[in-house]
Amino acid sequence: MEYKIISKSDFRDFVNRLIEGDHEINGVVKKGISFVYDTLVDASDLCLDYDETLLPPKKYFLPVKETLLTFKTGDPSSYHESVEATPRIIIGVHPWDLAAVALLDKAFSTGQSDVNYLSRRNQSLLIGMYPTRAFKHRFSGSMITDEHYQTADLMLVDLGNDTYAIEVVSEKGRDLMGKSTAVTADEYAIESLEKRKHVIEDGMHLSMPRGDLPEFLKKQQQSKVIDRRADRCFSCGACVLVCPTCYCFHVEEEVDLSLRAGRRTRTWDGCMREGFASAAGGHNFRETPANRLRHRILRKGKYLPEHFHLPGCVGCGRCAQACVADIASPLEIINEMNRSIYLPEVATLQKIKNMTDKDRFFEFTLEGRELGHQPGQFVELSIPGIGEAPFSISSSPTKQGGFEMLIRNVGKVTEAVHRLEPGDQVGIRGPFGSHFAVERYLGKDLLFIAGGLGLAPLRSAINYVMDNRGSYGQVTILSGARDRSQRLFPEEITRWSRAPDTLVLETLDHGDEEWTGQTGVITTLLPMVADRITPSDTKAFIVGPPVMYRFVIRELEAFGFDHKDILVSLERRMECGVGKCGHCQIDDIYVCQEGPVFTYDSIRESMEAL
Amino acid sequence: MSTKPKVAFFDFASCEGCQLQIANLEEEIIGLVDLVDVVEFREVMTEKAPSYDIAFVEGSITRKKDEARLRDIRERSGVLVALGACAATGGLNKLKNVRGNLEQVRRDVYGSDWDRPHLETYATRAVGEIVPVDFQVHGCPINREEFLHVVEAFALGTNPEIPDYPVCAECKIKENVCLFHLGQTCLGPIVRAGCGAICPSNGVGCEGCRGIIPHANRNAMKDVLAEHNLTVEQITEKFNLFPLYPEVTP
Repeated sequence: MEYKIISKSDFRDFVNRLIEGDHEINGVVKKGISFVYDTLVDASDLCLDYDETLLPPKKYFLPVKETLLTFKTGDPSSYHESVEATPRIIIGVHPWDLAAVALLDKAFSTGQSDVNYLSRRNQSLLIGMYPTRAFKHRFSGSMITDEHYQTADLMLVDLGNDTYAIEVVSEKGRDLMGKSTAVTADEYAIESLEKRKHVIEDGMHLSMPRGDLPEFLKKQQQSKVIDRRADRCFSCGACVLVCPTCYCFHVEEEVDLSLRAGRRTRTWDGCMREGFASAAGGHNFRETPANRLRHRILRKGKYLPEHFHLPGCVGCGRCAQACVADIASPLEIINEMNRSIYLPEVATLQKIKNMTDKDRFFEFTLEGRELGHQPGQFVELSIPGIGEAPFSISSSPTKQGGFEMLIRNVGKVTEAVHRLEPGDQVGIRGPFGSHFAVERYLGKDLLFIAGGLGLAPLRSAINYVMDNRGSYGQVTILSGARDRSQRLFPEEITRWSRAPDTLVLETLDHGDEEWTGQTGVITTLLPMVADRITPSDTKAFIVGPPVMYRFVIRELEAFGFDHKDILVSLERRMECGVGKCGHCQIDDIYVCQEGPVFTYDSIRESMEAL
Repeated sequence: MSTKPKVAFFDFASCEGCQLQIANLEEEIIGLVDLVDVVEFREVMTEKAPSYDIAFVEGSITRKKDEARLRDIRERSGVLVALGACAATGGLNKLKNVRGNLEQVRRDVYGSDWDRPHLETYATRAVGEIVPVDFQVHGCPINREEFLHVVEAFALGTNPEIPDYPVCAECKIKENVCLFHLGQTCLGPIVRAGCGAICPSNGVGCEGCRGIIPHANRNAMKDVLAEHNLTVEQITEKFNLFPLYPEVTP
């Protein structure tokens, strides 16, 4: 590498001589409280001490709008190509924007060469500039390395003493510097240059090595972080318009007012806009803001790097600045996805209802989102200083504005939960685990068998079915409790029993004078519904104490149930909820991951399951 | 006989500023009259015609008796285009609807003469709330280039393409410093582009004259405005200046 130094005033004179030459000279100038690339008429307008420009220099190689073809209306033989290219020198380009130009170069030269882009690019010289000012949204240090910005012809370093040091990167750069008064740098200047190249540090860093991004994002495609952020998305596309590596465009036809001639143009467009992926006939292949945000983040962190072996996001931070909703920063999104799997989010207790002497019913809300669970899933609930424990969710996903859990006071966490009052906050992780896939059993008959607390998770599925009652066949609910004082959800049981084509039967282990219903264990109810059940058309859901499963399943087998049509939920000690700690394993199955809901068929041969 | 489409202009409650935009097209007006036959345009000519291929209707409907005239225009027109904010969404004229009491509105506006019969008024309706509208040209006033594009598209027999993305996007391309970064507020994130972000480019936050984009995220807009220290009343006022609640109809 060749190094030069030049005083700032000599550099200005040099730029002024360039302005008089045959290139258009573009450079960074001040605009209000920010900066833009503009055509220079005098070197004194140049402002190289800047944080970030509003738009990247891509606008010179891929104009906001350009004509691709001209034509006469109604005459296909009149299509004529249009390539407008101005030789230009762009001064003050930051390393990450140079890295972005490298990506654009590759994108427009890979496969079919895009002459419109390449002819402009080939006639340009880039004078880069190491940053002298911090920018709060920038994280380029996590995204690019020195090898990524070899697109520069020259690189300027502000040595601070009214002098620039210059790295001569290309032949074109050397020729250009030959026309200046720059002199060869001495060792001291080179040492000082190396020190000052990277004096400005990012305020933010990616929480993983850049190279891990493609694999990481592949696993994060369903991440709730995307949904949560997309809730605030305006689909304005500001993030992609200001992005130095976004190059998608929209092609359209423009006709003169005479209607005799026109042109085909291309204009900046981007995947975050609502109509970007909609096709003729009205189908939109990325219909929701979450679909679009997911695509954008994967394109930046996975698709582009895998395709071009260059960073798809260079960490300039323009998108984060441009986003009025403040959701766009890829760094924030990825770091949020990459947070510790053990980190709970805050939930607020809204309502408490006493159910029995030991059971209380709680409603919690999360900040800014619904829990987004499925019937049968569970969460881990934390109380700082006490600990964390798993609880099944008792409310249906159809219920908006908070989720409910029935919690029995049997341990230290549950005891602390019972001490909570409305307004108190707890930590929540989840939802976790498999679910009662009632949404897949449309039109089927359903048989719910609950023993004791087993009614709590089943209530989630039952209420889902009740809220979609027309979508299912006949519903049968069997519920058993120890005695009258231990009955759960009595009002809801009455409500369910009034639903069309629904039979609810209850039994108590120990009846009393006031109890007019059945007594005995839960299996005593099964013969009473034998005539009603068509096993080949019924899905059975069983949740209850461990001892209950064998007896109930034996009866269902006798009815003629296929093992695939029997679903059970297994209770185990689920300490971590994320398939790591090992406490919940049955044989080689992590119940917190593959369960807690299983088809009987899938665990029948397990030694440890039932 | 001419085969050019016969075009007519009509106005209801409005400032007629949108028609003025067309009358002021200058050079392009020559191109326009090459393209179409203007058969009725009260602002520039006195002739009348029995039927039209394209009728441009400016203004909103604020009196019961306007409905019959509008229906008559509709019947005699092939294509009916709502011209400008008043016609397309009800525009500023709908401000009175959110005040509720129309008698008080008349007292405020006309003072002691408020109950004269010719000052009759009812809750403002957009043209499309009375008769079917084939197309809308948005804005207060309309954008001349967009108007020409619409006429041209009809002459070519295609559908005009107008932006379904918000002003915010146009503003970014103009390289404006975001008004939110200057301590101001703006409805640019939810309002339909096509104006070239003219207000924010001149330092004034978007007020929404072009109406909202399809599936506009109004909740996020309210959150953002609240985060920039606007009160609920101020936010409601902003959303009501130009009706950004299309579902609020009398």
